[in-house]
Amino acid sequence: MTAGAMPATATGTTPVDPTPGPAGAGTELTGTYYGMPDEMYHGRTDSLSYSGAKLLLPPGCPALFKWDRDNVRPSKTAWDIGHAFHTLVLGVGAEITIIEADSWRTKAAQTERQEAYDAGAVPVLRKDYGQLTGMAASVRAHPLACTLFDPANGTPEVSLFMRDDASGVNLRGRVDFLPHSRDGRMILPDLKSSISADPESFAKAAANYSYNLQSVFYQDLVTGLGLADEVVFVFVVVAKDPPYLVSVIQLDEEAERIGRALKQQAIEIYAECTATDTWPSYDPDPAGGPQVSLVQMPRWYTRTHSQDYSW
Amino acid sequence: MVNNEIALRAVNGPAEIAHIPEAAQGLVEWAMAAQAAYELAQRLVTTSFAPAQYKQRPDEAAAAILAGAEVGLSPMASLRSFDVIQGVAAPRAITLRAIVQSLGHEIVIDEASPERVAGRGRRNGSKEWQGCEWTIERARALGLANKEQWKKQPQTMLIARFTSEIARLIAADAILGIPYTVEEIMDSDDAPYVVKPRPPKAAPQRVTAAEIIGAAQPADQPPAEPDPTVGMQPERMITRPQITKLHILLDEAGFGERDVKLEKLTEILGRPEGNPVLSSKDLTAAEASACIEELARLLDPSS
Repeated sequence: MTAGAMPATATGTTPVDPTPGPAGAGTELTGTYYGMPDEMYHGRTDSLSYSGAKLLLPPGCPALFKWDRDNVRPSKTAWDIGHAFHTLVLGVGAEITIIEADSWRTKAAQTERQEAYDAGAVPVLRKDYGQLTGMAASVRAHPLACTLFDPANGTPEVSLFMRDDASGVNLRGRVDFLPHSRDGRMILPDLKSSISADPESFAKAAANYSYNLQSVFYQDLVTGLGLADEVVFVFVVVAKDPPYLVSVIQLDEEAERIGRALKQQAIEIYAECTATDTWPSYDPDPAGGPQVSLVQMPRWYTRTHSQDYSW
Repeated sequence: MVNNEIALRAVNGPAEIAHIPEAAQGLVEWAMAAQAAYELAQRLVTTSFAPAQYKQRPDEAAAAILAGAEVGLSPMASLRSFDVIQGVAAPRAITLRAIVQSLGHEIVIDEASPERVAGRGRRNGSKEWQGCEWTIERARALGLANKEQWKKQPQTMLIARFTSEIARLIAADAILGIPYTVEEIMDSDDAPYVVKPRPPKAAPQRVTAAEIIGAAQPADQPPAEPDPTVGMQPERMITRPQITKLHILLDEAGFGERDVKLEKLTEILGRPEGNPVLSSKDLTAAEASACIEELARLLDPSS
């Protein structure tokens, strides 16, 4: 059974030709692209995205980035659920195929899942689909979240490409929802599903997944392309369990300051690795060949056990 | 217990501190003081009492508070008296003088002009005076006289140099750990920048609910009446399988070129002249279905 997007997209104004060329090839892209297919966006391997930047930085490393860039990642159930959630709320994305099974354990379910992939759809178990529709309904019922993603106010899934003049590195980003231009600062929303909508819990997730890096990455793309003078990035966080609570969260200035430093660091690593075509792993001194890494235990651990040995 | 035995972990409580040698205790206390300074700085830097250069900069404020504490200054006095340059908290010369004088040492300026500053200093309890002078020739010999601040206010700069020098001569112990004053650092050839209050980067103001709701309204249009049918559930757009099927049918029906395809879709949908189909992705799901049905009928009239 196939389920379409419940709410759909705004009518797509297309200021830039959405067919810039084959994936990963063609001329350098700069600008705002509406309706660019997923595979084309992800195929633009001549540019650095937020998720790529995250992979370049610890706990990632250039070797991981390169592998991710050059290989097709196998789908994971968690990603499928995330994609399906975006489709349900934003109204764009791959078709959702509901699989009438309790789990992926059976051969039949696995076959149906593969068929969905082959058809370019996202397979979701019936029970997961029920959860996703509940989450999507919760977003629509939340006065701020609903407004932030209202198709009347902007366009979902917009791809942004620009060149970082200082480094010459091409950057790309795909915002969940690009509001129409208007007076005042732009509020750029990003949809996240999470174990909890508690803002404090989200802060920890933001640290783990470098959401501050994402925040500045997208803000800079929007301002760099002249789409707004000032941008505020907010996360619309939806809990995965009933009653599917929703929080709208903004990271503070300190988080963004760190995010901007991380972004700069990632750009520099990317520029150097690209220029030399070397993508080191975790070796402390890549030029010196494989070595043993000497590590300290985490500070909290050392502090906790500081009384266990004599000075 | 002999010295090289491993100490057993004491139960939580002050008793365990007793096992730590004195030097280590000092470190622990310093670390606690540093933590306290940071927590204090975090609160102070958001207030109007904090000097402009420390606004929203708790790390630098904590460094200044700690440096000030080492010479007996209160946190607020430290913020007013120290600048942080390249991560180092440095006092102004006048701060050095205040520290030294607060400990009972004496500093006297006998002569001050744009060409020469001379004076004396005497350590608390001592009868001996220590003389010191700074002249513009000395500054010139060190390559300082051409610097902007020296040209603008040579007497002030001479006094600053005299002050830091005499303070070190008579009370080095009181100002130990303060290698240079702000004025001396700025005289250095590799001084990074002119010390001035740095305007903090404007922190993004928190987005308010009213701002989100307000942003939803186009700037040049009055707020629209709420319409229960409009909002998060507009018309469903063309699906990927529909796109695939549509293009296959168009190809089979002989509409191979992109322009010809779009023209045909425009015709099938009866779109007015000013509103042609510009991309198959712009179609709604219903429009796509209509086109697919019509193309299928063209290919197989019996269907």
